[in-house]
Amino acid sequence: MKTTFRRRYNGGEKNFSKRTLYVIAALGAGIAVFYFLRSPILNAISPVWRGQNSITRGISNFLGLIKDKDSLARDNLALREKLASYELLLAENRALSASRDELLGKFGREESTAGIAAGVLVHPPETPYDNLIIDAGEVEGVKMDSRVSLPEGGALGTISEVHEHQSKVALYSGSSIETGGLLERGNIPVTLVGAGGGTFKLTLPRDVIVEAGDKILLPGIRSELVGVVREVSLEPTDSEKHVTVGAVANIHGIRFVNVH
Amino acid sequence: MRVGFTIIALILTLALPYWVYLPFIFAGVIVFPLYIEAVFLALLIDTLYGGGEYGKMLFGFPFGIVAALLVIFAAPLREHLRFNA
Repeated sequence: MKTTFRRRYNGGEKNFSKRTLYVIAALGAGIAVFYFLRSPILNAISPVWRGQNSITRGISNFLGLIKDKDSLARDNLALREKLASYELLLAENRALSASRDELLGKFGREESTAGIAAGVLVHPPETPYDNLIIDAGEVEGVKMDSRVSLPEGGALGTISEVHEHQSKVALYSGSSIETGGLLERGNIPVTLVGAGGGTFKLTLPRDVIVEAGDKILLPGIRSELVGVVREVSLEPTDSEKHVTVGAVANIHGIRFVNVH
Repeated sequence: MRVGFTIIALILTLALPYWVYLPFIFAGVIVFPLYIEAVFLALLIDTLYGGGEYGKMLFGFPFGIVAALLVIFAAPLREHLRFNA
């Protein structure tokens, strides 16, 4: 009869202590190295991200070419119609923006610069958090806590780290980040709590009217759009409404931002 | 094989979403004895992608600390697992 015996476990506690010390020493050394070499590492990795973005765009353009002619023609028509309607919206938006800026100018509150345009190197889900890494840093004039928005408008977040040529943007939708806002319907002050993945959670008293599609604005003279209500849930026994708010744009596909 | 695995994990960290590279690194901790490279990869993730809100509590390196704990506690677990029936 064959019997298998497990190898005797000798010196378990001593080995465990040695391994723990070894791992802790490696962790300590690693933290020291990575803390001081943050900027050089980001500088070294940036070309890799740029190359990866170019390759991804090239592949999706190529895949677009191998579709059949009819489907391409249909897509082309649909996109032209969408473009036409967006151009109208953009023209209207520009007119509104210009009249707002003129009004703010009369009160001495116009923005002095158009902001710093930056490309997005990395966005979720490559980053496990709701962060963006952009290719503008101290050299380009980016400062800590600067406001970041989409080129066409819509608030995204603030600058959380600045390096020589790169910066990190902490999105307002980051987990547990609280942002003060204003529900456009009724001008009600609200507190948005980031839930990650480009969404926010919000609770409102039961009797406050809110519907899907309502806009949430940042408080302040410019009232930038920060989110749009997606879903409102209310149980009969609840005293509060639970509202899910989506960010202004799909954070998984942002390509360009403005830093103010 | 261990070096190749680490190189692949590094490429995945730079190119693919977190739900690809994090389980891959975790698998390395389980498969390889004392996979200290996981700690360095996790520290790289913290450096590149930022600590976020949780980073403010764990010295800015939450993934690194969690990876170190996994490596420490994976070792006795591997030794106590019986692989032969």
